[in-house]
Amino acid sequence: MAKLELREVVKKYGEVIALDRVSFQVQDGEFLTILGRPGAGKTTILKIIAGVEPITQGKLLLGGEDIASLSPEFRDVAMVFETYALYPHLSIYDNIVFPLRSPLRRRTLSESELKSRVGEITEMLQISDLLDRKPVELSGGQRQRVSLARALVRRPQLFLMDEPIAHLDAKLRHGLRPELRNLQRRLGVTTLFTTTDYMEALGIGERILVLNEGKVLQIGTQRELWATPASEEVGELLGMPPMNIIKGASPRVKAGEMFLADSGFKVKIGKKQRLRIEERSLTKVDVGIHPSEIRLLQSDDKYEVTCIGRIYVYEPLGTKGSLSVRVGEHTLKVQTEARFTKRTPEEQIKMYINERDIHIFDPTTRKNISTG
Amino acid sequence: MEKLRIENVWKYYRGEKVEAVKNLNLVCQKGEILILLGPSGCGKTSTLRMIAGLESISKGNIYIGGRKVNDLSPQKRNIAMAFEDYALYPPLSVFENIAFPLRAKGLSIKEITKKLKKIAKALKIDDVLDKLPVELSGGQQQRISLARALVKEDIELLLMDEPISHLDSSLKNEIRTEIKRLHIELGNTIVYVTHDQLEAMALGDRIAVMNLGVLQQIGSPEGLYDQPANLFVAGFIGEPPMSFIDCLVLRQNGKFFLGNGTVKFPLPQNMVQSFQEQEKVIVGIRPGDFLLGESKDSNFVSISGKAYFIEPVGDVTVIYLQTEVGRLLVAALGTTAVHENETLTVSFSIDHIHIFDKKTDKAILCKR
Repeated sequence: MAKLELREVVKKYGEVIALDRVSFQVQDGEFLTILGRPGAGKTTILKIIAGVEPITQGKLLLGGEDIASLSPEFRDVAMVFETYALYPHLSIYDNIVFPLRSPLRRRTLSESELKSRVGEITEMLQISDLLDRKPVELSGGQRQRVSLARALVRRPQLFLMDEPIAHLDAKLRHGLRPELRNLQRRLGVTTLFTTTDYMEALGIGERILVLNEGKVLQIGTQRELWATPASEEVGELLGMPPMNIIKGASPRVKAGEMFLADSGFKVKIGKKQRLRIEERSLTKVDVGIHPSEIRLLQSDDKYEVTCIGRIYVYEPLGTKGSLSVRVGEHTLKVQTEARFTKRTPEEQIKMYINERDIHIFDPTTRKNISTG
Repeated sequence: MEKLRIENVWKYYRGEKVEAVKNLNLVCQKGEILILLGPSGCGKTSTLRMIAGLESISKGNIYIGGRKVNDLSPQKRNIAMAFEDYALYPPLSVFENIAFPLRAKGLSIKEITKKLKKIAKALKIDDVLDKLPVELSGGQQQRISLARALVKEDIELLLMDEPISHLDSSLKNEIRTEIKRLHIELGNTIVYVTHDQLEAMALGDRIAVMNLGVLQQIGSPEGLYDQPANLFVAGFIGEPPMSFIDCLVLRQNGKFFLGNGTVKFPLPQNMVQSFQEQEKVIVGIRPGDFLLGESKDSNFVSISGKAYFIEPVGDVTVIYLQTEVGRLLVAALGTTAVHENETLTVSFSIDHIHIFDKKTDKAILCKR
């Protein structure tokens, strides 16, 4: 019913192209996250769906109906922003029911209907004991829940959330994420949720749309994104630290096997990828490796050494560490265990990389050769 | 050698109504990166601005390089600053902006170029040296101001206020690493303000955690992570955050236990402090310190619950577990076969728990 579809949508601000032929579908009841850097066009997508901004070109379908020319109040879409604008002089209850009392609503609800609806939503969000208070008496996390309640209480066809929990601390974010997602499931509302944080995007979304400079780079499940990033840009957005990209390595055939050789490292290439490289007659490729897929070797390890480097910097990150290693001209980031002790700059270190964990990109298009 | 000493420093605003910094005492040694970390309003920026001389000190003393600086103007404090609002000279090129402090010192153009190129390359602004500040993005301007502070020589202290906050996450990562490496090579003394605990952990030699104007704890990144001094630090450092369980101290057959409902486990052997029966404590466990499955090891405690939410995030899976002792966050490496709404047992070693006094929020120390 509330399936959303964008077809070749273009949004221009003057000469600036904010959205460049964006096409995607969101299924009824689906939770889609939009991941991208600041300025990628995430908010613009939400704004054109809400009707706050007109589209320049393309089609915008909600439940099969073209809504591009409908004014915002008739789109049945609710939007939550990062900055929660609550009315300071109204109680929390009145803030939440505000949109239901709007004269623009086709059907007004009785006060008792309002009460039961607010009760249901605020119960779920655990703010039902705050209804008599004023916004100023609430913490940031509580206020954000109130603004969520205000959007949810309308029971819209579509829920648009623009980085709704980005500015809360980690404890609150982790508390709210499951709440938000479980609530959305129970209500069955189709939802778009933007974020700059890959952990949030992968963690909360059923599917993730990766947006960069107004273009859709990839849309898929977290597993698909992690296992097969469609382009180098996608890889660079995923992981802490993000995927390593080694530019301009040369594939070489030796004794019937293909290797990637570059200053300081040598990795075997699997059959499928070799085929793709040969099909395209690529003489240079870019190589992507997740920092968690690089194994640091101890002197007694039996793994074959795939590259040797020198320690550049060690950064402890709590549950894990990040070791930067200089290999030839490149700096590789390697994920380590939490209490990694080998951290003296310039010390030599040996590493192993499995051929299965290598992602190969075409250096011209920066696209993954396995998909693009 | 001590480069900075902050002694009983207070900062008030609006008369004495707002206490932004409360009786702060801190020392920063030569060659160290000291991070001031905390949420907004914790007093970290007020502290940095008092060190810089951009704000007056309401009470107490600040010494830079052994010299009391309370009444000295910023120019006379022998410091360099990379602040968010620290203006660049609009008519000068990026190169000249960065070179400014070196020219003032009378260095030759050859020497200047050599120094500057290295830093500009590390901060990835070597391709914009001929441009004017107005032609650059906020993130680039931030790095120019950072480079200008880094080239400055013969200074006691380098002050940085969120110098990479305007960068997107992957560039932020790279620049953070480069700042740390430059610091290793240059050996300068840096006081660095951030609200981002991950940035603080990655970069700092020591971290001073502040909240509501009060210093909570100061220590190495691993020290804060492994032995948080109170509940605030325990919850603020680390993502996913630590889980907390309310417990009561119980005594059976002369032995002390911690309990909540049917969950009961002996006190860790490395406890330093003795307990009173019926004392209320909070037990904290880091998400990474859980093991999936039951453990028969007598040093381990097993708890079952319902996995009410699962976040697969690439190389880690975060499992939200609803148990009889409350909600627990469990981080498992890689992908797991756990499904939502499944009943799951997890275990943790009593040697890895953190114990806090429920009355004071303070950690009850364990030897590690």
